[in-house]
Amino acid sequence: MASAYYAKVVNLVSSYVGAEKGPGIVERQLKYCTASADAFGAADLAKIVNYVAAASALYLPDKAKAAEMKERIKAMAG
Amino acid sequence: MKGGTEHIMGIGRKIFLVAAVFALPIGVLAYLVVSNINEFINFAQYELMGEAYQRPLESLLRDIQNHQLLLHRCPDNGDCSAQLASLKGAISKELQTLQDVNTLYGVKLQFTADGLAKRKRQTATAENLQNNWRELDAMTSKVEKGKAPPAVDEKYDAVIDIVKTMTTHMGDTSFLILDPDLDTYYFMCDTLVNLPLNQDRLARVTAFGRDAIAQGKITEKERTALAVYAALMQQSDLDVINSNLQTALNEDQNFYGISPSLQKNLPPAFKEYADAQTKFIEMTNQLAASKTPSISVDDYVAAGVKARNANFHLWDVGIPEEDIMLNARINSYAHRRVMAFVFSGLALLVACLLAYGTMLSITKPLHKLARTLVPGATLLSGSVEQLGEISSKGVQDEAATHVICDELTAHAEDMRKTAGQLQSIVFGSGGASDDSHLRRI
Repeated sequence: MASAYYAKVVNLVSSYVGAEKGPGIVERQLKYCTASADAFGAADLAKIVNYVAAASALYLPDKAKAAEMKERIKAMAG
Repeated sequence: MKGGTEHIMGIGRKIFLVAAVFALPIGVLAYLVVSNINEFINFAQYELMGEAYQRPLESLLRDIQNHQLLLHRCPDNGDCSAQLASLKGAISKELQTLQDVNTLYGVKLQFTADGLAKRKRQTATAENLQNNWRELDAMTSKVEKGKAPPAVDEKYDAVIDIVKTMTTHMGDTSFLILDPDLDTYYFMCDTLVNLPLNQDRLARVTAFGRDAIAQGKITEKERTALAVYAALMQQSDLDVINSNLQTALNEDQNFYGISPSLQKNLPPAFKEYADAQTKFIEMTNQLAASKTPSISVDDYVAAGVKARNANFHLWDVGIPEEDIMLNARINSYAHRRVMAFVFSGLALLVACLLAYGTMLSITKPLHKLARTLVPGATLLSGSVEQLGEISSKGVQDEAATHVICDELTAHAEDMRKTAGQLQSIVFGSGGASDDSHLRRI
């Protein structure tokens, strides 16, 4: 079962790109931090924050929204 | 034009419209079924109206002919003026009752100028009957005891003819004559046709026999007539009435259940009538057999009156029973009408639920497909843009390229799955179709 932190990240991304794509985007970036969804934490997010932001931005035609999302993910990563 | 989509109806609404089109016949059929049932109910209600109309007519037939018999001869040469006055009062009340019933049902039973004229029965009105009775009453008031002239009897016949024509008209327009069930049909044959026919015949034969006996010698012609009357009362009246009532009693159980009161009340009333009628037939045959009458006038008239009273008693017992049977039919059809509504409603509900379920099974995957395709378009343009930026920088950005490739690959996989679902929607899960193009995605 995915950690609560991981779920929060997924929710944040999904709120921008939609529930269809959000979970997949975050899951595909896990390979860059070698963590699993069950044990995902802030330190892991810090490692993949740029990947998540870059992948999500591909689905966002509004650059301002993409930048806002990236800032919020970074804020989550601390 | 904005992409030509502003007036396109959603697939859900289209499916709903198709379901509504197929539900329409259910509604039409339900309407036709209920209309048909209502016709049956209406039919029985007209029969009940007819019976209500016949009640005062029967009372008039009984009392007017009793009045005629008494006017000609009072038993034991007594004074019947009090009985005649009582009958006159009863007839006046019955005429008023007939007027009341006519006000209620006259138009429906076509006792109108138009309805009567169509059947050449213009004289068969309650008003005409009342006027003729007043004229007859004026004539009888001048008659000396036991010396009614032929003109008075002709007037009695005219009044009775109006009653009989009104009964015939009521039988036709109330549909009683067309009763659709075996039990009530045979019963109606007696109450509408055979019993009234016998009531009239009994009065006429009683009068005929009375006059023949009074002469002290019965001519050959009169004896033949008496023998014919006796045969008619046996074969055309008693035997037919008996056969019809037995059939009604036997068939009763096959139409809307058995009527306990019919089975209980009718046989004793019929036995009383059959005994009295048989006795009167025997006496009539006895008169027909000899030139010199061996029966006294009073005995013969008393036997005729007894048979006639028993006939009216049978009619009085029978009519409420026929009402009960007709009401049982109405209740049965009313129940069927409720069932028709309930089952039609259930069929519509099931059809709506099936249509709704089918609509969801189609629209849900389509919505999913739409949700996959819309971000996919953004992904493609975003990827192209990103790749363009990377290329313009002239710098290899392996990470960004990987991310783009991963997303495009994932999207391609989503597309393949969704296209597979779309194919299932279109062709069904076991449908044969060329999906090689999907495998190439």
